[in-house]
Amino acid sequence: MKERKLLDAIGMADEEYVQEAAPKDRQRIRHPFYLAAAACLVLALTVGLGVLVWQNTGIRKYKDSEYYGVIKVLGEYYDYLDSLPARDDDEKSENSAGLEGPKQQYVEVTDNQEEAVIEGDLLKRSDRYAYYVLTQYASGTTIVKVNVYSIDGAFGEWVTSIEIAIEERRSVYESYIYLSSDCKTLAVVYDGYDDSKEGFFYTQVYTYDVSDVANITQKGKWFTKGNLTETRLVGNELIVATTFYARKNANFSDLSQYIPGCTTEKGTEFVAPEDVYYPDSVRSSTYRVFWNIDIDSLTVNDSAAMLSYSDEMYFTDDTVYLQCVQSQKTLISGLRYRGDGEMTLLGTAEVKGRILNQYSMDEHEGILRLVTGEGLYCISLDDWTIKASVLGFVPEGEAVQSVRFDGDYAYVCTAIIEELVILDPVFFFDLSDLSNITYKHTAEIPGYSHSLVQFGNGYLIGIGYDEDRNGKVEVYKETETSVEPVCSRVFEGAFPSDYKSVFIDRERNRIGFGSGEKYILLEFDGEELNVILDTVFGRRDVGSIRAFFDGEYLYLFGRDRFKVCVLHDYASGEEDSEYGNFPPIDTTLEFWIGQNVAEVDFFKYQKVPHMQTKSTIVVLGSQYSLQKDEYGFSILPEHHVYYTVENGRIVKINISDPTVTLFGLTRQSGSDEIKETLIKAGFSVGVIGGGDTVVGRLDLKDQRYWVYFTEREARMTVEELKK
Amino acid sequence: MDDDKIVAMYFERNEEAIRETDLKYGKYCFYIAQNILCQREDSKECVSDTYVRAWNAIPPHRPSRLGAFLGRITRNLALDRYAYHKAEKRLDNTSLVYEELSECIPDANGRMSVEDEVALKMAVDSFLAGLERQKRILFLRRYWYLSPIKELARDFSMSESNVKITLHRIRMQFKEHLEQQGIEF
Repeated sequence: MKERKLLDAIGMADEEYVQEAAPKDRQRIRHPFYLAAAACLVLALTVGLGVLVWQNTGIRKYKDSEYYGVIKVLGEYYDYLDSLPARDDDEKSENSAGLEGPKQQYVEVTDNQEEAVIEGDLLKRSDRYAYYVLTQYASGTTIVKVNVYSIDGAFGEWVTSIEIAIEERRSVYESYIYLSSDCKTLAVVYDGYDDSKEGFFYTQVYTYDVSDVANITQKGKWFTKGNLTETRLVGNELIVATTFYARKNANFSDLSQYIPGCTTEKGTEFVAPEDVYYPDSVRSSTYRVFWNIDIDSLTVNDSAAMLSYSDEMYFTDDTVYLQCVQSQKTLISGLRYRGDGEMTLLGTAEVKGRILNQYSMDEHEGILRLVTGEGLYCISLDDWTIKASVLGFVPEGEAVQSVRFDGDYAYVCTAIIEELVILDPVFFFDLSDLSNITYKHTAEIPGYSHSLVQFGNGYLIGIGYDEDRNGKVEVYKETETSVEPVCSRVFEGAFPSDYKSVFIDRERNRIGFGSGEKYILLEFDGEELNVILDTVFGRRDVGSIRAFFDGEYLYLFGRDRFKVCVLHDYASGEEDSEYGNFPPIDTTLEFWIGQNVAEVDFFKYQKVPHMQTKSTIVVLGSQYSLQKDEYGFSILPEHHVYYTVENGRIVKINISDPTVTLFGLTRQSGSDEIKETLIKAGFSVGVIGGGDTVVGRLDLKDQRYWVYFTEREARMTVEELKK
Repeated sequence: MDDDKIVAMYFERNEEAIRETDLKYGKYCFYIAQNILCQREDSKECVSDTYVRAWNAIPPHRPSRLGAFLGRITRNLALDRYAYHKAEKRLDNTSLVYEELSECIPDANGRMSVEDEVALKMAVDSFLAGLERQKRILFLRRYWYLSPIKELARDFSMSESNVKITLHRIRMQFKEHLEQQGIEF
């Protein structure tokens, strides 16, 4: 309508004139303090008169009051307060009623070795919230931080953070978290070194009440000298295994110098003398200490210390097995850490060679199976004698790289390292008849697996490196005569060496991991490993990445970065009817001109926070990710594309990515080229701002398309034309 | 906080930029929206949408006058919303403004091209530059800010009829100016 055109033109008036004409009352900035002080003063007066004015609608009835002028001003001020959009914290407090919500359900995200024995991890979750721990360094300060995210399909987002400021003289090595089974308590466990005059390693535990994430409060803290070795959570019992170093030439009148102890808010306690275990002779003054702590109250239920034992431990739901390496033998001991009675040393057996890690041991039907560098052993837990063993299967020059037990079977990966060429056979053991243990092995395969994962149906996944030290994922199949490789994929760039950073979905035969600056999701279809997701996920610290699925949305967590993906992020080049005809980001965008974009579902793309309103969302193109650090939000890569969506339709596309073309043009195209191209495409074209901006307009059916090209961005908007 | 600092926060993608914007210009934007819509909830939404659009536009845009920039966004959003929701003709402030401006439209039939729209913008600027300051402020208060006549009378210490007469004269000057510039609607 013409009047509207004129109004719009007046709206484009020079900003200097607009500012000059701004209403004086609304221009003056009122400092909240003075407003509050003024309001309090006036309020005191009005209260003294027995008059309270809160609603503008009621002001008129006071028009006869000698204070009407003041009442009116107050009324306007309160109206102004009412008119303000809700602030961030207001929105959060408004939301807090919803955030408390129904009872949460715990969801396991860690691939625990033993069911019901929960291992500490960087990520824990309920059905509604995810918690991710990281250590942050800023301005000389170390902070252990837990980010809390909502889990809500495509709309998962950061909610809040817990920050633990570390004392200046202390460093942090590792940090893990646990979420209690009722999802009300979050335990943060970390260790480090205290560089005070005394100098010592330490382990700290903080617990928080997270039943209402809008109001997270600290519950308790626990401290011990000694670095963290392992942790487990079984029911409500938090098992913290630490390594305590008795001081050299300790003063034995001072317990703290040679006996492990812990400190809570109630005071310090030491491991009782009857709970300190040691062999006849020791090769080190190092204790492996086990603390059984109630996760809710952080009181110590029991403790035990094993002197001269090493830190490879295997936890079942009530027993921990660990080794003590001596000159000609290795002692394998079992310590009951929970259950009826106190912590008790159950027994000790002698074997040859040393175990690699927790996966090298397994308890099954009263038998402890373990693999050392010398062979495989089966130990009876009734009397701690060796029932069966297979020695010497590890050829000379090789070393055990990974072990997996699965019921009556064991898989052992060894490796030959010759002149930087790594060769990797896998041994398959049948332990169903201990009197007749048989094994078979594959041919030598380049590379080796640091982790072996059962996928079911006789398939085994090896995660490791090839002979060129590229990341490798390999599938093996057990046959009648051997374990044979089925397929593999190699990935250049940074590759996880930490098993916990690998996402495993046994139901759908999927594996996910960080590779370089990307996150890759593979799916095994019985023959091949197919890439079903290949998405940018920022930096190269792939070991810190964690992931899980919420329905069809993959949640990715990293050090202060977070992303919600849908599997269609992978540019397969094929159209997906569920998403209409919206193409991958690096193609031209004029596809949607004239087409019905209402079919496109933008709600599955990553939202840009603080740009949402009731009717509008802004989402990122599929190849871009949202990051959050101490400086706020940023989008990676620097130049990106995002879509403004209203009521399911694109109304604007902003393109600052110089690789994205619009009608064959980029934001760096010259103005003459832009004009010529747009005219050919049917646009009416104009130049404004002294040639800085090229504007094109195209009317199609009941929509008008505007295109703007500046040297910094290209922009398309859609305007609905009213008939 | 200075506008420069607020804009810098937008460039840093610091979410505090929106909070600072709201502190400094929230009431200003609400005033503009409320003049057009006369509906508190709709006006609040317009202000919220303004922040979204500001975040969207900055960067790459770096407004030289943040207040005017934000005000323009709010104004356009409110006018759009007004047009969208207007079910029947009613004598509210905005419809009166439309009526008044209809007097300024030169008598010509023609489809407005993009170049014409650009030329119209330039004509508005040149007209405003030629007005004396008080009249320019009055004109923009009425047709940029859509301030009610009663409020203008109060702020300019004039009677309402005086405000109406003055605005009428300015509108006639504006129409003449547009015709001289060859603007066709």
